[in-house]
Amino acid sequence: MSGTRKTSQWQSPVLAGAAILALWYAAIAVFKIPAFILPAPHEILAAVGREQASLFPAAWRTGGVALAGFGAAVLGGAALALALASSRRVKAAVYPWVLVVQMVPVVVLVPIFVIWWGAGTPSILAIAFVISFFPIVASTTLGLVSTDRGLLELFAVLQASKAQEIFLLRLPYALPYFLSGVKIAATLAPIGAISGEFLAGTTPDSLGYLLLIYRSDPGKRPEVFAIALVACALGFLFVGAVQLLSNRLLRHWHESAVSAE
Amino acid sequence: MTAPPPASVALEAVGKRFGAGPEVLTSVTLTAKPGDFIALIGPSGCGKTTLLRLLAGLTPPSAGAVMLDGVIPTQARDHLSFIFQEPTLLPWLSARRNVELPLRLQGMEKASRREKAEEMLRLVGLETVAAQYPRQLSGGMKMRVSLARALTRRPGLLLLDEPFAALDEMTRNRLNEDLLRLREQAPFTAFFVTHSVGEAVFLSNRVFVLAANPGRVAAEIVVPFPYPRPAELRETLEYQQVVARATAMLRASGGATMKGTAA
Repeated sequence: MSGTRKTSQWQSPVLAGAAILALWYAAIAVFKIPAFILPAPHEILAAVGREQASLFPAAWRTGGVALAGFGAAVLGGAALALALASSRRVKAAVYPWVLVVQMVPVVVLVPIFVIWWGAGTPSILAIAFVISFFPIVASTTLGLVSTDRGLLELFAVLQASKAQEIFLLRLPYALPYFLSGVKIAATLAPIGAISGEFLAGTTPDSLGYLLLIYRSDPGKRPEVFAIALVACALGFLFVGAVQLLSNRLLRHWHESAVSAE
Repeated sequence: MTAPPPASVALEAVGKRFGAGPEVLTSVTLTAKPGDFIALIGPSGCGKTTLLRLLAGLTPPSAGAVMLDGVIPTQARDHLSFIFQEPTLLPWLSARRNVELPLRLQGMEKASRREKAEEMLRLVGLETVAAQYPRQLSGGMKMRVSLARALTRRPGLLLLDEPFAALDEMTRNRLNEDLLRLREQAPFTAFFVTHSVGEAVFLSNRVFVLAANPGRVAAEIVVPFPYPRPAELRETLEYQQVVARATAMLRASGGATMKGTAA
């Protein structure tokens, strides 16, 4: 039973992927698209092979910075969500300002951070942090304030202390919300890091910096697409790790993890 | 743990309104002797659930006094348990750990609370699913876990708010029989809110019929059948006569409400 489910779970995305590849090749053939506009998938893979000596260390470095920013966002976001959920007044006072920071586009934040901390790793890390911070704050706060009323009344009748209510009820109840915020943050952190590197333009051996170089060389068009592929893979790595953790933590009780069993 | 004796309950001219709204309950006076099983029936909006919440201390009365064993409910919470309409189980805990919860909150150490929870699960016939999680259990099983959890504290007063309303009739009847059986083993005073007259008569020794707008006690029916009550009681003529009488009174209270609303 679970075996057939597992196959069908893999079947559809693989089939869809094959269809997309077929369409891709067909479009190139039919419309005679030149390789410097849209390289064929095998040309992109070849570019990854050619440039692996610079691509993989760059991905490693970008991944590390993204991970650091992401980790800081997880800790900071959870802490801020706890503060916001603790009182209506704190939330009313602070939440709009969290939104304000979120509204500033990355292209504007990068130069500001560069002014403050220079065009190096600290600024890139800060971008990865800022971009992945908000989803964690938003969804964790929502989880913390939407605890089931019936369960809260149960805890009241059972004379639970405030600490017991928080640790045995509110926090576990908010866990799926928190994890869904973390998952969104995991997709954003590598994007933030690469954007930061690209816009600051001065951290060599990073994906964003390589992108700058490839972009300016007309002979390296497949390499630009190779960056896209590596960035994708990096994102999947982040999200996949969070998904695994999430399934593990929620496997007994939450529908999202149960259907993935 | 030594079980406290069943609680006595006294409501003295109790009124309740929420904010500046109309009175939901007005001058409710009733007393329950230790061991009474009281069923509350009445049309929607008659304040049955509010009455239970007052007894649980979840909300204070706006007039009069509620006393459990001579103290106000918030001071007597050690001795009362509440069973909600929903099973209200924590989905991230196994059935056994859900049953342990009240003892865990009281700070009882792990081994003894585990032992107590397993004993309660045996009593409700769920020892085989102790390790399962709520989502793996049927509606009836979840309610049994909720019942076991309420009884681990050996309450002197058990408050039940339409606990079996969502279950099919067979399951509901079984749970009613189980509830009475558990009461023989560890006696408690009970207030049971229900929409089912049959259930009210089968379980209780006194049925209070409430009327709405504002909520008040319209009638009391004394149910004369001794405990323990066999399941076959439901098939006797006497039982059906009491049910018929209670149904008539319920209709009378509901009819009065509609006239009152129209006026």
